[in-house]
Amino acid sequence: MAQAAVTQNQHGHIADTNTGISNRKLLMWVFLASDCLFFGSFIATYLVYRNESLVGPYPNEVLNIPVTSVSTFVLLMSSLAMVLALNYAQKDRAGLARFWLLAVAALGLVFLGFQVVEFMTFVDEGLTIHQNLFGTTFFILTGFHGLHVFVGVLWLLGMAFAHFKGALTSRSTEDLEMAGLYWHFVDIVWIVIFTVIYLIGFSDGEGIETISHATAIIGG
Amino acid sequence: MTTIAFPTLISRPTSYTGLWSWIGTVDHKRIGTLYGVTAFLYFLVGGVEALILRAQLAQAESDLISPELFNELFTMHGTTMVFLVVMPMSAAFFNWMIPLMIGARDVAFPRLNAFSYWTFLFGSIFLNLSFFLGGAPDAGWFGYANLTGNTYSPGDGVTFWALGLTTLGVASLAAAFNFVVTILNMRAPGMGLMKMPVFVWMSLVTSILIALAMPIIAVALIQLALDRVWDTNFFNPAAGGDPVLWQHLFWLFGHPEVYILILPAMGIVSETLPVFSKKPLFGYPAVVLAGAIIGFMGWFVWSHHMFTVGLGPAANAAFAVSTMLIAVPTGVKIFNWIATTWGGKLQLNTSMLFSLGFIAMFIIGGLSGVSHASPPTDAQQQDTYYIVAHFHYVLFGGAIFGLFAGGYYWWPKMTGKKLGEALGQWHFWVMLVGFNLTFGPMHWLGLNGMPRRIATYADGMGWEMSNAIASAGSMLIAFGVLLFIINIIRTISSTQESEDDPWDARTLEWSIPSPPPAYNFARIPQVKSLDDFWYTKHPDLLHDERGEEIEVGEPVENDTHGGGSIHLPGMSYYPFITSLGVTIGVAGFMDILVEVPGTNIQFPWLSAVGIVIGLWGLMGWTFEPVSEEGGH
Amino acid sequence: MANPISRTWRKLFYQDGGCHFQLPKVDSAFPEPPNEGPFGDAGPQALGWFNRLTNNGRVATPFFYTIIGVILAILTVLEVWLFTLSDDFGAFFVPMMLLLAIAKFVIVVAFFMHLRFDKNLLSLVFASGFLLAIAVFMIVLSVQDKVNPSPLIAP
Repeated sequence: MAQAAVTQNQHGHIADTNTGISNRKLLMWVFLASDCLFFGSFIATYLVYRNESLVGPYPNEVLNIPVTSVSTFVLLMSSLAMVLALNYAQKDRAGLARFWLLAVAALGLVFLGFQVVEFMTFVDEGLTIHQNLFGTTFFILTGFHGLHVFVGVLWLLGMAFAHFKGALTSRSTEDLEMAGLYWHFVDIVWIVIFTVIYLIGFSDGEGIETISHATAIIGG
Repeated sequence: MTTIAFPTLISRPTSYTGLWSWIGTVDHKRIGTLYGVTAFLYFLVGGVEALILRAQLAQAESDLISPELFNELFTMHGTTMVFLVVMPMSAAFFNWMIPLMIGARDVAFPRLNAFSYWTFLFGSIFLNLSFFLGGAPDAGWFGYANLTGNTYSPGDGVTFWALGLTTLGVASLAAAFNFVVTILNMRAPGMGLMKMPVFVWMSLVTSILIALAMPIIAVALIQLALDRVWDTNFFNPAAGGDPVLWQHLFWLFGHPEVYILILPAMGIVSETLPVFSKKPLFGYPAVVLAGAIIGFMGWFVWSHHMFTVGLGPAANAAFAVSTMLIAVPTGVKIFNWIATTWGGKLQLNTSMLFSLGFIAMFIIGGLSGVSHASPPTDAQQQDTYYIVAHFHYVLFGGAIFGLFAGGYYWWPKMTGKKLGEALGQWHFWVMLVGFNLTFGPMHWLGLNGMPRRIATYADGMGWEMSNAIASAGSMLIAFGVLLFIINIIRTISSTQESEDDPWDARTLEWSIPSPPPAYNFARIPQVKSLDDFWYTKHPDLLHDERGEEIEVGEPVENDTHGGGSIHLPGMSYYPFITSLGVTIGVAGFMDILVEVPGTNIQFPWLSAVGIVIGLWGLMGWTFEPVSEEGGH
Repeated sequence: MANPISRTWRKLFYQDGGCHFQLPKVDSAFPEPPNEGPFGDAGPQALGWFNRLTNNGRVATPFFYTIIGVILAILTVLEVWLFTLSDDFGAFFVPMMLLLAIAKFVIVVAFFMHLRFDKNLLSLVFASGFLLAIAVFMIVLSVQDKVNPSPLIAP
């Protein structure tokens, strides 16, 4: 009769589990499912407050689609670099794995740089978290996403410098896989944010003066 | 595994006794005990708050306490009982019993488990510090916007509330992830999902609910804290902000939360009723399925808390229907419990009495709940004492009674001694009578129009008698709790040991010595059927009860390539340090920011300190080998 | 005929007799002909390509991931290009954008995050969180009148 092995923490060999998925990987996916609700709440808040700002600046006055398209592209390519890093790590090619890992971190930093410049430009144009609902919801949503990217960059750099000194082990490959899952998740959140807030939401604010005026009259 | 030398500054705890061993512990049983003791202390705190409230309301036009203090007390009573009593007390049972019931030696992530507890402890201390640092939160336990804004809540109380609950959310999330993975991945060989005890099933559903619901309240609380500290506009009507959004986010979390509170208790009575009726649980698959359906449907009923907001007839009708529908799986469970006791050889000891009390009180609370599933009725009952009566019947008569049942049932497992039976019976009956005296009259008070959250009421409203009875009942509850404490003290000081399996119980935790050794199972059990341990003990019953051939499992031989000894994860201080960092990091967002020179950015310097501490803890956590001998 | 694209094209659209699609020849020796359906064996053939690139769906090659990356890049460029034409699409613009975002989302989750190669339980875990988020927040938006905003000027 085939019986499942039950060893737990037995001398570094990864225990077989009921589901055949390692504990850490399952934890990561449950965390990502949970994080869906986290970003979902922020995006829903943004959407509930679409076109509800009482004063400008409005999205169509500040959003810069060409620049953000470039940063979106950078983040997308960092995802590709991440998957390549993992792929080479799984094939025991530590040098290439480390190269792509550093590339991911670098692309992540470029993305963050774009975001910092974007935020500073917006503030110069009069959009702050205090200014209106658009400013509040936009900065906090993209700011929390940026925070996730920043955490990811720290994680990746930490792994690139601390974990990959010696030979690759199945454990450190799995570490890399966890970081990769997190990184790709951050990327897909940005896919949603870019489409919903930048591309679809860009026209928000055209002719908003009259609309908010009307709302004020109705008492909406 | 490659071990990297890393300056971690502190060494691993080695002693298995004393204070430091508790701070460094990763043993799920010790962490469960810590959860239980902490939650019980908060139960006393929340209880004292309630007693002061009832003393104030005992007579009309009383001025025992100021209205401001009254607001703080009812807010903190609700917050304490929900987040600091029922949830951690359930977590205590999860910690203690899940690994034992599924035949595992620990949870999947022992150090993450310690992190959950310490974060919960620090977060709860931070929340209660508000009493001494400028006033407790006073906006009600659901903190409706825009009452919680700076305009109407100028003190620091609500900020304490928002940040404290965020910290507690981190703790609950970490614990929930851990339990989901533990239950899915660490079951003994042969224990399929439909061979798990119902308590483990209900913990799984609860953990999934926590994992998915907590992020929503975290977002709402972050938005609230940002509104208060950084003057954002999320819930600021002057800038177009919509207070109804807060209600949506809060109740989107808040309604699954209700099931997070009650499902563990439902799991507990699903264990005690079969044991003390000497019968298998009636309709095991139906009970499990009903629990899972409750967990799913619980997501689509939240707006019944908002019937009087004016969401429109379509929304109200839809949520009324879904609310009434969710009574169906709950009813399925109740009928299954009743059928379990039907024709059984009932042992009416304290645990069984609390379980039966749970069913009775929960039925009353459930029926009053269905009565305000209908929007027109709800419009009458909203914000009256009828609602207070309803949710105390489900949360006190339901969750707390269920937890007491579990306490009496598992006490011999956890300590090796039985709680006194005579005092226990007194405890139950005093509690039951006191409970009904307190909350029964509130139905009438509510239907007579007495609103919630009023510090006092005018003479001659016809509410004096009911309020006096309720206050007297609350004293009786307090007396019941006192009896419980005396019972605990007498049991601890007595020398009478209990057997390993005093109740002739059905599940795996009773197959090992009481209290269990640190490694739980000397040999990992193997499971072939539901209630495997019961049929191992009573092979003659196999055919009587099931009418079919049932196999029982033999324990598995130990994997001996560790030299035959059992390796347990080593103790660690790093979860404690990381929790400290997380709590300081979140708490540092209080109104003590410094302005960065040259800009108008308010910098939370204390958060930065917390993040540094947290990073140190995380580094140590990552680079410390899992167990002392583990690195080779 | 040798090149796979023209072969697939012929399989898809070659007219044979009075039918729009090529029907497989039914032989009494093959009571249940393989690959029956409007697309012939185009599906299994594509799957063959997929399997070759991913070592039968287990571990993919860097080449495969690069192709996925290029597809994602193309989709992003397409999105931005369609955005510049947004006025021409009217009411179709938003659903079109959402479809493209969903396509990118699914590709990243399925291939970069390996859900296509991993145990189904992980897909279930992630989908439950993601779909639940969509469901409840769509309800919030519709209850708050944000899905199809009613006219702001009351009659």
